[in-house]
Amino acid sequence: MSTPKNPTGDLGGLTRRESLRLLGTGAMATLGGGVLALHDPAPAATPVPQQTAAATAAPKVVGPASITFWSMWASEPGKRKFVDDTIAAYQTAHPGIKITVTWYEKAPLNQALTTAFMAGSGAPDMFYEDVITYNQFIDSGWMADLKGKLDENQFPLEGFEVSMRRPGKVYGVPLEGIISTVWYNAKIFRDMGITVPDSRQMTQKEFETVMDQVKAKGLIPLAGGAADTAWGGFHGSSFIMRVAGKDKFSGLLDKRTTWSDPDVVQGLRLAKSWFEKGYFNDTIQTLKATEAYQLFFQRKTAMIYVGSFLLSNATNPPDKGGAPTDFEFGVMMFPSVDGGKGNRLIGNRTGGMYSVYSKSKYIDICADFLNFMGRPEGAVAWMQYTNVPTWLKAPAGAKVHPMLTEQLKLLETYERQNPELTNRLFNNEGAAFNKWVGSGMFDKSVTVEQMVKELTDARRRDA
Amino acid sequence: MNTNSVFGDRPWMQLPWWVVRTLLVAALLIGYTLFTLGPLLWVVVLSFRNNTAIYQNPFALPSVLQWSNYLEVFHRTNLPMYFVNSMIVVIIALIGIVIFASMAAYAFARFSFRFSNTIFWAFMATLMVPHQVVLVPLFKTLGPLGLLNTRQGLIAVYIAFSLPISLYILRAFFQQIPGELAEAAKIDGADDWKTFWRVMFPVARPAVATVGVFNFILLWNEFLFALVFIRDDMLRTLPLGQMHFMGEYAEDIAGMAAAVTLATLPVILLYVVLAEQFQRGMAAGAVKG
Amino acid sequence: MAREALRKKAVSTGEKGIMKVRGGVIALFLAPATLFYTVLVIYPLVYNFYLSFLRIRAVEGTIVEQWVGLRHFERIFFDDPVFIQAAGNSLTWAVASALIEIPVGVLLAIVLSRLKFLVRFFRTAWFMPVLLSYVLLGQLWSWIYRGDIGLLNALLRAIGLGSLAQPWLGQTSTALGALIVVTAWHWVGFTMVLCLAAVSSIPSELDDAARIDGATGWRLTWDITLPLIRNTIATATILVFIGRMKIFDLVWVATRGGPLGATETVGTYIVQRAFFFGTLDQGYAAALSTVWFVAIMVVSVVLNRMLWSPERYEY
Repeated sequence: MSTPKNPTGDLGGLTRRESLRLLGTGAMATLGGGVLALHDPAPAATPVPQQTAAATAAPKVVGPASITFWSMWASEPGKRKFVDDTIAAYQTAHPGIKITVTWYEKAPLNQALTTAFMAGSGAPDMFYEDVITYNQFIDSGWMADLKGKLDENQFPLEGFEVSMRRPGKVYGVPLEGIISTVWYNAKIFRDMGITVPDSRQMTQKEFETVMDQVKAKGLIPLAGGAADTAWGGFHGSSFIMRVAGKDKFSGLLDKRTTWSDPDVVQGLRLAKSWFEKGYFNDTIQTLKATEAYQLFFQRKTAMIYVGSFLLSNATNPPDKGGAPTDFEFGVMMFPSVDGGKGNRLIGNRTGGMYSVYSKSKYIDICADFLNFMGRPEGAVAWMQYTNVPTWLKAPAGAKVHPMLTEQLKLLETYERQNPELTNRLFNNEGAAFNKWVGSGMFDKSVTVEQMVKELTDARRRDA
Repeated sequence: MNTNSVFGDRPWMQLPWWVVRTLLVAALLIGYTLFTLGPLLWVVVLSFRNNTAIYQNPFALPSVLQWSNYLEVFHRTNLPMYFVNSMIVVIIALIGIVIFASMAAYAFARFSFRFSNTIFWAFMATLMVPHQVVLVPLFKTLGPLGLLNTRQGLIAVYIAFSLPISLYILRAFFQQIPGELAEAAKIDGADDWKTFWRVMFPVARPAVATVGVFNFILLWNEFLFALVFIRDDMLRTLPLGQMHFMGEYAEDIAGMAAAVTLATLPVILLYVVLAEQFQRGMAAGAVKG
Repeated sequence: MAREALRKKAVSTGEKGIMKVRGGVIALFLAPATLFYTVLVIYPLVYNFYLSFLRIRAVEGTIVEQWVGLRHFERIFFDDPVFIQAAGNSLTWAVASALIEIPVGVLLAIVLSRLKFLVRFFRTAWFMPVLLSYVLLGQLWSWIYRGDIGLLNALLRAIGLGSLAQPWLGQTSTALGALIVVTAWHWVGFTMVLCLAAVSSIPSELDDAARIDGATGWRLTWDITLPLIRNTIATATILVFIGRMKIFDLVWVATRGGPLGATETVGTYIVQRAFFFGTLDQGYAAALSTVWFVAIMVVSVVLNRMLWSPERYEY
């Protein structure tokens, strides 16, 4: 007669909205999806290219096959439409092959997948994967190596290298790309006479001057939502990336770099200093990422440092959490740091991707389906339905959101680097990072020394 | 003012005690009712508003009832199907629980046999273990039995895990039944089986009602097992429908409120309708200790 | 005093009709329940216990199990600050919940039992929170506690106490307390109904006799009613305790164990380690749940000894 049965025992439908960093979904909660209402009217007017079967060559694979497919994004109509349309078109072209998709949200999906894999039965043929679990799934041998089965013109392998440390192997199709930039309210900048250099990157001093100016005007300089701890980690790791440079930063992941390394400590210190100087909203500890977006859209803050899924959110109808239709966006790089070795790095990684189960009977058919998904029309459809970058190669001149174009331009100028440590550190060290850096970054009582101590100790316990 | 009064110049202290007490009780009654019902009503109100308005003023009442949130719940999810599945799974599980638990509880209460206590406490012990822990072994067990991704599998799991608490309640009840009843039935020539079904079980109706309502609440809202053991969207139960509104980046408060209201409504209605039975069951049933 | 006499009269000495029955019949009655239970509950649990001595990894698609004996347990007790914090939180939660929910539940039950009007309405209204799932609770109260549009802060600002408005779930100092309030809100109704039923089952003769004796109001409650429902209160307390020590869903939905582990419970920690830790080492999670299971058992037995009164009142 108590609560003995954990009545829902749920693992997450209400997953604590893990922040932007978590490779995951862009942000869609809209009814229609893909309304590029902000600046570029054309895509909204032109019909989305039909995902016809006509473009594919005679199918090399034949059924009969019945394929199970578990996908994330249950709550995002834009992405669902993309997947549903793709499946419908593929099935038309390949009678005899049936693909059944079950929709989940991230944490329940991970639970279900982990349970099925560990039990050795009941696992799907194709499934969504992202940074939270793909490393352990790869290490455990549950993901099929698709090298040689995918059309490498459509799937640039760099998309894999950036996030996955498995040279020479291909474990999934990187559908979603995430580019981390500083977004700013172009109108506020204009009104205050702030200009962004042509290189699109300010120095830390310039950036802080801007923030001081904004603060003086009574606005929040930089918004953030650290309630899910991932954003705090992102903020910290961005600075570490700047100070320590590519090699040392990666060294944290394979334990070559210690946490007490001066560059690492300096990075953490700089990150913390922004909090101490009051550059953030004082509700940062309690806001989730999406709630922080609202601050930006409501013009209470001038800037927000976040991944490209902001755009997906922004293009929702204003009532569903989108930005007002006259909002003016701008993007720039995270500022450079004096003497930093990683100033030319731009945060870039893979978000959601689809993988194939290594023990599936239909690996070739799945690979063929994924190829189909990644063809040029698919790439365009993806960007138009979801407003999120993709690694898939879209044909030149495809009409996409101008902000998306801006971000892609930055990718060409700067060097790509996965800026995240959250979800790439594991076990006690990972948990400690989420706790002491992710949460502790914005807690007055946690010092950088304490962070370093806890992280070092956690690493020891993992050994 | 009568300055000779013990209360000096505080006239309100001169109120008779019974008035003060009544006021306090009234305050308690009203206040606590607001405390319990307030949040629930707030959610229902939220479900009729739109998100922009909610951000402006979390408190206000909508000027126009927006049914669009509810429509969206039906549009985005397979809600009627989930509802049917929940009904099937929960009701069948309840029938199983009531029958099996009554039988076993009766045995524990009225038959004397070795290890009776031990076995009973073996049943009770698992109340203390969280469900996540048994996920993988259970998954592995259900597979070979062909029970994965089926309603039957979920029903079986629900029955098994509801047994401890049901046994507890029913056993306590059966222990309180006067022995004369059984004696009388025996004299009439009935064997134990018939005695149980003709005499004891009907008498136990209040406790059975308690067990029924209690488990209904828990099973209707159960999420974890339903999530992991059921894969087909057509077989999913109601709590899983909520997943469609709890996205990573979605801030659709109004939509969530509607989904959540729809999911809870059956339980609330059931309770309101059966409250009396439930109360009587608790009174006659497991509470004497 | 007459009260003593009343109590003595109430204590039973009767026997219940326990029967000696053929083994076959016993088996018949017990079989279905035992079958389901053994296959679906006992077996996974025993397996889980076995797992706590193993270190589990998956290598190239197969699961590798390695016997490590007591190593997990060693680590849990001596080298796991997260466990210590989680255990502390869980125990605090259990004790605080018992201290809050039981008196309030009993008080409400007494009030209801003496109320002359609208009893059904209040009883139903006050029981409503019990019907909600933890998922719902977590979502609902996250909204209530939100810094910006949360109901609580809006209320505080409306009555002029705006300075008290704070990010309840975002601060280490208030997060756990806020969640304790949530479980209390949720469960008090149940305790209330339990006690109310017990109170109603006290035959009115006892009540009347006591009143004639001159006992009224508070004394009536304290000296007569409460002792008679003592065992119910004991049961309720133990159930609350066990329930809170196991709590998981609510925390997961509302705060995921943050901030800085202020709301981490053993339940959430077990799930973290089992599914989100990057090594999929179910062995450690199994060991944690074994340890905690023993802890809960010990607590239940101790509480039972302390609170349960063997006197049976039969009347």
